[in-house]
Amino acid sequence: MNPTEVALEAAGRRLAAYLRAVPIPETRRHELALRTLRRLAMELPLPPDAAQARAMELLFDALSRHVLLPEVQPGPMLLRRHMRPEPMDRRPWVRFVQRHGTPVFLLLTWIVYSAWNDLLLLILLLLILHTLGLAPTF
Amino acid sequence: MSTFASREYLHMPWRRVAARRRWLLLALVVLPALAAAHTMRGLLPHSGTTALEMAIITVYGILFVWISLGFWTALAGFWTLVRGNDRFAVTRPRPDDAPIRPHVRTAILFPICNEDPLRIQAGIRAVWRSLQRVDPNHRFDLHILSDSSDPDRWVQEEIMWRELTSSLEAEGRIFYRRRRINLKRKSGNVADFCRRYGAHYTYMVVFDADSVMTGATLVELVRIMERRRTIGILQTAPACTGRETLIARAQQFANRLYGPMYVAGLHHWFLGDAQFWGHNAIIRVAPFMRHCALPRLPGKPPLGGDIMSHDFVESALMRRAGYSVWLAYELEGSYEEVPPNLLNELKRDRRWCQGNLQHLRLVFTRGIFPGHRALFLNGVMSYGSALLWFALLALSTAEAVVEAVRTPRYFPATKTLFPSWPVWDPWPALILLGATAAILFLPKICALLLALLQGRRRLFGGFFALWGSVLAEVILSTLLAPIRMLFHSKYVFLTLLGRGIGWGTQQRDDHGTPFRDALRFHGGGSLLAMLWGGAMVSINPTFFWWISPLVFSLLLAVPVSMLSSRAEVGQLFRRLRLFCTPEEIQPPQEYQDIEAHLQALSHRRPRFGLPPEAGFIRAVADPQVNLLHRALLRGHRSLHPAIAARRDALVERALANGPHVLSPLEREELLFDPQRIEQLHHRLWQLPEETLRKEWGVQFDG
Repeated sequence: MNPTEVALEAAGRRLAAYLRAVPIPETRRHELALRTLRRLAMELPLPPDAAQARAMELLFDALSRHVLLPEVQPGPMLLRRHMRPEPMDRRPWVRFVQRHGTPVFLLLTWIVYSAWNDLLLLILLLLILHTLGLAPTF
Repeated sequence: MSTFASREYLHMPWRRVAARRRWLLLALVVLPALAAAHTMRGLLPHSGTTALEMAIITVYGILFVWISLGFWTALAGFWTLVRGNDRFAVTRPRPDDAPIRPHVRTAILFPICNEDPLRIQAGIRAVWRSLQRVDPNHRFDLHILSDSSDPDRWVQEEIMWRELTSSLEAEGRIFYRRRRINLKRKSGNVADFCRRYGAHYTYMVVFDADSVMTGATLVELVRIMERRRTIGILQTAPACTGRETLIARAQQFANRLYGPMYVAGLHHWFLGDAQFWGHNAIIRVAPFMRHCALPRLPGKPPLGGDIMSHDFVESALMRRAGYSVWLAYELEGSYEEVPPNLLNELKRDRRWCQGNLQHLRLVFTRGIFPGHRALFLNGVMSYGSALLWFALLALSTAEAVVEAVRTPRYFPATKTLFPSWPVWDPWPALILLGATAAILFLPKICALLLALLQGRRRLFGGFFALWGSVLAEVILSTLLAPIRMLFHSKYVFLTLLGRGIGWGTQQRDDHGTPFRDALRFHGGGSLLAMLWGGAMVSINPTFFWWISPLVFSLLLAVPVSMLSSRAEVGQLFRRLRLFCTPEEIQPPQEYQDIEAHLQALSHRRPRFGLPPEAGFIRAVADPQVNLLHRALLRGHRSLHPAIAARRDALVERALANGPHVLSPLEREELLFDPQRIEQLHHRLWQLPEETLRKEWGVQFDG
């Protein structure tokens, strides 16, 4: 076989292998292969590898006019909703202490910062003095 | 608004019955445990007066409670099944049942992560066909929810989905979605589905990658949920089947013989406070979305971060919201597979151990029902008991050593006329041993009796085969128990120390364990047993005979692990009619379909000579796969010049040197880019034939 035929045969084999896997009708496959080989023949002589590469380039150019991407439905219509975690409250004793401890703390704070504090300190002082036997008599 | 404003189904009649039963259970486990601890105290040389002996008694008491729980659960299940006519069984219609709405839709979810796509395809096909047999106009949709990080698996899954929809004529009924970011693992995968598509469905059934359910069971689950609108989650009891290795067949046998009794027992004690096992269960979507989203735990893994064992927590949250969680123990037609060998089982246990220990942080959560708090603790004890057993052995060994080396005191400090001889009475020890043996083995006898009473002996290979299988299972589980104890103790210890564990993919095939792997994993335990046994032989030979079963089991760990992982050994036992299960004697139609489909797939010649697992190469080389993959991507996006340049460089590298020079992350990056994957495809087909064959494995006559 002459080099042109060898190059065309190699290109034809590659085109056939490729087109077998393309999802188009069988007659269309053969038409595309034939058209591509005819266009390639006008550009020969080329080495076999270059001829195959050029054949594929011509084929991809021809296929670009077809819509080949399949229609796919990977999921139903999106209906977005929320899914938020509810509060877990893993340590209820902390809330218990906060709930009951806070009023006690506030009461103590009020006593410390008010005149009641002075009165309590005075009473404490008198008790100490009485214990030591130094309390004033009235 | 209060968290519990929607607890609309709180006052259900079964709650009082459940509470009475659980109080009874508490008495049944605690009182004998106290008696056993008292007996143990009398057994010990110093009657429990030393710190060491007090520790032994305490640990023994806790372990006795633990094994008693299993015992009474088995007996309750035996009683439930023998009596029949359980008024709380969910399959029983009731006068106040709601009407069944014919138009409810149910989603069947297959969350997968780097699993074998061929097996998944066969399983989905079998489930779909089973549904078609029951009702060709069924209202089930199947969703494949992928978290696969392996780019080859990603492409294989897309091909699998396309083949399923075209061969089963199920376009618009079987869906595929791959998450780009794996947030919160499986629970996050399911939550993502709920956020996107949950509003379409009233119910969802969650499967594992290896789960199978018959169409009849799926339809019945929906009917039950329709009749009982207060049920949030309905869990089936999956039957283990589908494996050939010795250890898997033994577990399948144990699951089929003892499992129904234990599940019935769990149902007896918990009723509507049951647990969810993460798969083979149907869930009511709306309350699940409202109440069962999982937060992250504060702190770092392993005890902080994402909640790994999400199923227990989801069932507790569902119950907290007022919906009940039931076990449909009497429903058949639900199947799953067990790990094929001991190492895989231990890998799985490591993940579950970490997940269950996290539940310690949730036990006191406000609003959780006591039944679910008990289930959290039960989950912790599933692995914590191993550490306690290890502690008991260590303490007993210490006691034995101390008593062996210490000189007895014949004359105590108080003056006595006669010496005090250290005399050991074996009878209390034998009574205690007998009681423990009864607790451990009586449930097996009950399960055996149940199988005979129910006329199921033929389904286990016949009368003598059934007895032989029980004996063989006892021997095998006695050999494996110390090995599991050692590993579980290590897992609990490491997890409590804060050493995390990865959630890798499980091996689901029947390849045997190589010697190197077995030695690496079990060598340490065997060495420990050698040292322990050797020390006891020289210091306290009497004690050695008490611990000899444990020592010999650990010494034999390597050969036992290897032999039990072999499918040939499992098949030999099957020829001897040992460990036969109903699913092996009468294979379900679904498993026959799976087997047939896997056979057909194994004979299929791939296009261009490319192996099925070469997903990335197929996406680049195969025009159909390339088109499908690009159709499933979101479409072309404009990229930052640096990213575009990096991707162009990846394309050039792959074309110059072949796909093997790209790392999995680089392949994934290219697979995300429709423009570059198309470009790579076009330029690949322009390469010389020699390069295509050598670097990419593409053959034109393939």
